[in-house]
Amino acid sequence: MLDKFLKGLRAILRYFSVVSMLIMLFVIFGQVVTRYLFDYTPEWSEELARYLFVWVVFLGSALIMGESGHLAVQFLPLKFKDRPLGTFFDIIINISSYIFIGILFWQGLRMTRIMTFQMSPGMDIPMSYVYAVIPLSCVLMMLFVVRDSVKIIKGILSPKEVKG
Amino acid sequence: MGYILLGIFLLLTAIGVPVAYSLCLSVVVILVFFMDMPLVVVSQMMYSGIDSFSFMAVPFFMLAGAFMSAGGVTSRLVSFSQSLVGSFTGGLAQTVSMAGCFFASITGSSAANTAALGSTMINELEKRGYGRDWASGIVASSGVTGIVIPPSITMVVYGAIADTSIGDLFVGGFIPGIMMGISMMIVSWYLAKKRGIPKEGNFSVLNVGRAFKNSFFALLTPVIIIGGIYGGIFTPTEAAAVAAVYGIVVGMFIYRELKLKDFPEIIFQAVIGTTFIMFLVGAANVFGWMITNMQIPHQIAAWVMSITQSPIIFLIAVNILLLIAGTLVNASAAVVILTPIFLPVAIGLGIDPLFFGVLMVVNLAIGCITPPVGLDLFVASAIAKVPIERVFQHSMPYLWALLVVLVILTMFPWFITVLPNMLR
Repeated sequence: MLDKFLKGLRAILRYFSVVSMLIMLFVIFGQVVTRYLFDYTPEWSEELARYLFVWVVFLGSALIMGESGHLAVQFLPLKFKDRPLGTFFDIIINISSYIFIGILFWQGLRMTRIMTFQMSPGMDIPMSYVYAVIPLSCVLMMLFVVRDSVKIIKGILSPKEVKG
Repeated sequence: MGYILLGIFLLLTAIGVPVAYSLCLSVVVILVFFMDMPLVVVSQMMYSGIDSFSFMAVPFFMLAGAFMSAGGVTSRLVSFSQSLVGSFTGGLAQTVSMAGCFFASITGSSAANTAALGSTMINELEKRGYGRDWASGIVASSGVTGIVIPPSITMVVYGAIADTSIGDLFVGGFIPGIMMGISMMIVSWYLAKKRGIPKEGNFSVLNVGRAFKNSFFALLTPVIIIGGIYGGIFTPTEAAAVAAVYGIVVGMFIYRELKLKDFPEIIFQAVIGTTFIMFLVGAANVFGWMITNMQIPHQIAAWVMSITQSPIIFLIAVNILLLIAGTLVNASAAVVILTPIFLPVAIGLGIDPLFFGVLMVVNLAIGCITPPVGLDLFVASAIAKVPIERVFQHSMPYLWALLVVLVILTMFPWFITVLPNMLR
């Protein structure tokens, strides 16, 4: 169930991030063109690209968990894979993920709620629109962490089932 | 307190917690138990680390390289290199190293470089009697110049973190990158002579001319990027966007091998690659804020200077540390984590941040083929389907040659600083 849902989620995120990236690219490219041809730089272009960049990076941080994962030093986990110590490491990793993403979620939510009155200088939009991606992406990342928990629990309940 | 911060970070990282999480969690522990400060700095510093115009060059340079290689630039650069050095002893191996340098001037990552070279050249080398193992060693090593010769994603990251001109870093990488390429070509020449690889083909100016014409638009990329930045036409980030759009034009309309249906996957890979670096940049910004607050870089600098006042000894120590770091994590990630710690010491010892940055990048590039876990070794091993032990056995001679270049660069900063000083 969760896997299926995550797959659908991935498709949506992928679509969104690819489109955002294309917009970023052409906005910045367009900025060079308009500056050179018409001696004019829109005051919103750089800002729009930068905020899209923030959105892409945060949403991408959920996406990446369904791909190669965030950068981690895999040396010990691989060494102790399928052994009690390895499972212990997995549990620590899992708990750390809950704590980190949980903190980021709460603090991101606070930033989003406080900043409704602060407007961005270029596009004149509330900064909360930008910050909102932090709690949003944390919720999405959390889903992947739950998936890992399920995997760990299953592994403990049916040990050494498919080894080698 | 500093020991607790670093201790928690190292412990969690060693266990396998994602580095970005451990960076933030160690800061959280200090904030909660030792300081009376709100946790909101975590999300704030993370945000401000990511919200950066300079860093936007990272995905754009990734796109530029990916569009061009999907557009069929690699094979053209290979034929151009072959027309130049293919007729020497070990010509095909030298061709790979040279094509690696050319491709490096389009792409900004060594893994992408190795992958592009590997998919075209390993079979070719095998056919001409080099053997699959040696071929994969050549390809893995030839990829390393990817982050040294401009454009370079790792240099963008260093420049943005160290507040050093990205244009100067790019130009500073030129001579070191070429030295690395030549050193590997010499090794190939020597090994081919020793192992009796027959010479083939004749050098002809006509061939060179034809191949040059075919790859002209690809070779123009670095000229546009460097020329544009130094001509004051655009910022490095804009240069990257221009290069990416140029890549689309060249791939789709000139070489006509890039198709619209390739776009989503190419862009998606750039999203993943960018997130991989940027999420870490955000977390490192949180950590960097904390260590600066606690004056840790200052303390490390004082400690190092109590041991040695010599820049050379410090650089040698950094070189060794970076070679190890380069094998553990990706080069850009190593720059993100280590620059805030090393750079203040380097500046304290009177080392030019520009020189230091390029040296760091060269170093981490070499780390990509340092056994047992260099990234390029894995890429080459996966493409060639050769066990990794045999890849690094055969990339060893090249590794030694690159280390000689590293020593020369460390002793004579002139090779790195001469071009930027001329253009500045």
